[in-house]
Amino acid sequence: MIRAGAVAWLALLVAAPLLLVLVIAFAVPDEGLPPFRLPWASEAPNESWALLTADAFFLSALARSVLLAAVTALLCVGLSYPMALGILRAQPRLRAWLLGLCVLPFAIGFVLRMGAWIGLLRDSGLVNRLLIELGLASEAWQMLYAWPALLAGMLHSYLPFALLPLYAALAARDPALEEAAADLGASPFTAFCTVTLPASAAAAGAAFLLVFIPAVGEFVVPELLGPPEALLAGRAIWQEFFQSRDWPLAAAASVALLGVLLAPIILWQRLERR
Amino acid sequence: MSLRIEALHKSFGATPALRDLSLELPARSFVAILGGSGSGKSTLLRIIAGFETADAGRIMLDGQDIAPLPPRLRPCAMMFQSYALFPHLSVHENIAYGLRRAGTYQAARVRELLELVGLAGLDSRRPAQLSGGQQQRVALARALARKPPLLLLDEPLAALDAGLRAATGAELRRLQRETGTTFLMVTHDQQEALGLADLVAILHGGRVAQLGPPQQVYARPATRFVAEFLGAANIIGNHALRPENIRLGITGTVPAHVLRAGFRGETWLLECRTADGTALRVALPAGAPPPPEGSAVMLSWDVAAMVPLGA
Repeated sequence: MIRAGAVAWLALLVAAPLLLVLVIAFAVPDEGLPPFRLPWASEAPNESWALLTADAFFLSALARSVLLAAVTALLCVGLSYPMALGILRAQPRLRAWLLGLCVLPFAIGFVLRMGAWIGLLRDSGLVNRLLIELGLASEAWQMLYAWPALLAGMLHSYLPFALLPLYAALAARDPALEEAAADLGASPFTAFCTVTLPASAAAAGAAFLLVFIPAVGEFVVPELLGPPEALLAGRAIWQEFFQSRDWPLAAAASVALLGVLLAPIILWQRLERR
Repeated sequence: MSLRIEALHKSFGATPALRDLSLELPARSFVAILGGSGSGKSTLLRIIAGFETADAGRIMLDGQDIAPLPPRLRPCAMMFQSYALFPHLSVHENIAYGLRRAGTYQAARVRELLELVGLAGLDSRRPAQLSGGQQQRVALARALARKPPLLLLDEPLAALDAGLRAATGAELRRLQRETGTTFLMVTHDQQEALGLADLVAILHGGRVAQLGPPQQVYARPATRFVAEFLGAANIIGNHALRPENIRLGITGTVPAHVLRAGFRGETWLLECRTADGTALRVALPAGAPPPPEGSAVMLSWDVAAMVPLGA
């Protein structure tokens, strides 16, 4: 029963929408509602896949997205290690509170959080006003709508996805492992590199993917904080869908993005099994 | 190598774990620290290894106070109760870890250590692919790799099946003799401490209650705690009397009756009550059936078997 339910659930919520997107990707754009003709109902050939690779527009957007997601995921994992280890060093009673503080901002709406970054970074924002007041800058420094602002927003949005799994894995490790390393002559840094890091590699991989996968398709944060020239896959798909109303092209781009995302998941599963 | 611990004091919050503890270990000996939970025995070991800092006191290793040194600079090595083998490294690399840190790695030395603990040829296994007994021996080989003058063992046999414990204990003893390393073993098991060590230190409430050879601490317990902790001693007034030192027969000086008889394998442990109401435990060889419960018996013992106790 439970198994049949799970299959039905997956079929309804995962397989069916995916199939829908796949069918639309091979459809032909048309006037009307919905703005396409199904592949078997149209005489005109499907052009969306050819368009996708016709010029560098989509491919470079995809490459930028993958790069941004990889950097975001790497920084999230990198920040999560000291945070998780720091929290685990605190008194057990304090740990839940510290972890709560890390996750607390996520109780606030996503748009509000991004709005806060705008308030901080815009030309007449808090940071610029402070810099000018202190005489460290003579005029506003353009921080918003740039890559660093985009990265800050991405990190802020995705950090818990890396922190929580890594914290759980590090909390479950035998604390004697690092003591053994120290006992055998390792400095704290060496012990981290040779024991803590490799012993938690699987969790770090999971944390990386948990950030990387949703981050590749992210388009709200770049829209709100990123540079206008940074066309990312998410925004490209959005534009095709809502502005050009070329649903087949948008669907084809979505399927291509999915294909790119499957590669690291399969790779990770291979590594896990080893 | 000589280890002298001087007036070590350690509190966790308001709770003292060690109270001005002093202890001196002779070189090349096998010493057991025996105590119940909360006796401070694990804290003592962790302070010597450097994982905890003492509030006061000195740890003199060959005339040098190692208390200010971080763990990695202390010449002693530790074998952990959980073994703490590195799960991502092979057996060979686990043992090589300390040698690599010191820059003295030689594959031959690792193979020699594997042979020493009877695991030759298992170089490439991962810890998870080994049995508990094999893991224990890898942990031992790893700790011995750099030929430490002092090896600290935290409950080295606790994680093993009862059947493996005796054989592994004998193995520890052989390795201690062969390597000439001083072994300082923490255990809560009195049989283990008495059976393996040259010297037993009984810890109680953060202090050394008694230090001496196993036969001595067993036969001449210094305090009531030691007498009761090592075997089911009878306390009569200010004296301890071992159950096996009481004779039971038709003739004797103290009339009593049997309350209960408990089978201990090698012995029967009888709980008796004398005419004046004193409870006495009496050990009988298990060859013959014990007197039935409720029956009247006569007990006797040599006055010399009564050990006077200190505070």
